[in-house]
Amino acid sequence: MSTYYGIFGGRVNYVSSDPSNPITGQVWYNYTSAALKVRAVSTVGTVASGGNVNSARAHLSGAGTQTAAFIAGGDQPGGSGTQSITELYNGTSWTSNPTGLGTGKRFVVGTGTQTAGMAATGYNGSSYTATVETFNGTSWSPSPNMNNARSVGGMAGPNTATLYYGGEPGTTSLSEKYNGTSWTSTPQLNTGRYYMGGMGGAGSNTAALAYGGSTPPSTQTELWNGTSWTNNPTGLNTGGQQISGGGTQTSLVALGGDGRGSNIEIWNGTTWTSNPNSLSTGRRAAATSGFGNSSDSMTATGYNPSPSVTSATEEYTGPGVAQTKTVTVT
Amino acid sequence: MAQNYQYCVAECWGKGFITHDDSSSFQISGFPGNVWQVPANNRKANIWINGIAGVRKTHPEAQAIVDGIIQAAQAEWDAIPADDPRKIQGNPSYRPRPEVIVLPQ
Repeated sequence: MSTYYGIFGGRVNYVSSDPSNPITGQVWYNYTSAALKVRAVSTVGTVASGGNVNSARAHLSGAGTQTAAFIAGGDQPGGSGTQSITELYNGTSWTSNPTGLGTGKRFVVGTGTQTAGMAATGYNGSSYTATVETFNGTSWSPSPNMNNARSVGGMAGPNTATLYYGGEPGTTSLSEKYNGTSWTSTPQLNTGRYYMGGMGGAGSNTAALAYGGSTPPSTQTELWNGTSWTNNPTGLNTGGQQISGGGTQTSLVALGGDGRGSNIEIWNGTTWTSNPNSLSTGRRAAATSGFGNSSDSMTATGYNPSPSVTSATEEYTGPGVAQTKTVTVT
Repeated sequence: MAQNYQYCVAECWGKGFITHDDSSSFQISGFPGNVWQVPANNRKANIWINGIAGVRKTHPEAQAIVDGIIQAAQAEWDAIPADDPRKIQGNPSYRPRPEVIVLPQ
């Protein structure tokens, strides 16, 4: 009978805690948790709980990465009103930022990073706005307004090279590009939509993706090449709106969304593929426009079920990323 | 009748509640009322329930918890005036009436 010692020429290490930087293939026995563990590469995307947000809400902005993100604005409890609350994520927990958005808004959309973020448009309680604020990791500052007041569009890119597309009122197809100084109108989407899935800071104002959206919940996917929008021949496998996710035009993950429940789909630049694993908590109207990229994205807070909001964060890790797994022995 | 799923109640505390190892080993589905569904007769799922200090519930008990939350949400929705944007289809504020969730056995 083959043994571990016979194959590898060494015994399994007995340790009190998991090694801090295990290598792929490394095996150890954690006697504190009485578990045999291995560092292995997953072949499918998996999810894990992240820290709970302090102020659960929906229709808020959010961007950044799994280890450095922000959320800002959103609904008051009950699904109306506005708020300016900003929270910061460090990969483990959310912390309330001492200062919030300059103007409380719902249906606001975010992009960029935790230290160079942007929150654009939204509903301020009386009207849709074209206002934009930028975040430096500590406080929000007014930034040049967009040309068209609206909300819940898609957004892509850093806060100095940004694309904003679609939105409402109505189902607008308007697109605008920001160069760090001013917004310029660009060719419109082929199909006006709002509540599209977004890209977050990993996107670009020369290579963006518009997917899903309303109304009705759509599967449609369009690609922006810096000059024009092109319809992709195929769309999402499951149509939906208010989708979370993040990534680039050639590699992106879509998480949950209205009409999609806990579904996860992966975009490879050409087609969408359903991930075998799903979110543990289906949700919609979570923080948008997006976090991270296709290998490490997340979704935070949102409705589940309407009108209840969840405080849960779920972190997505794509296939091909090494993870520590517990080996079950019978 | 054979049970495909088992249920427990536990409050998600955040990081570490569900790990990548957990979700790659078995499907975990959350429902209103902090009700969690995992496969029955699954060793890793049993370990997970114990690890999160989940309070095991029978299928009828879990269904009753979810029903209570949904009924309260429906009552809240029903109380919203008909002309409120939250009840007008096509308005971005529109939210559908919470639907009954039937937990599988």
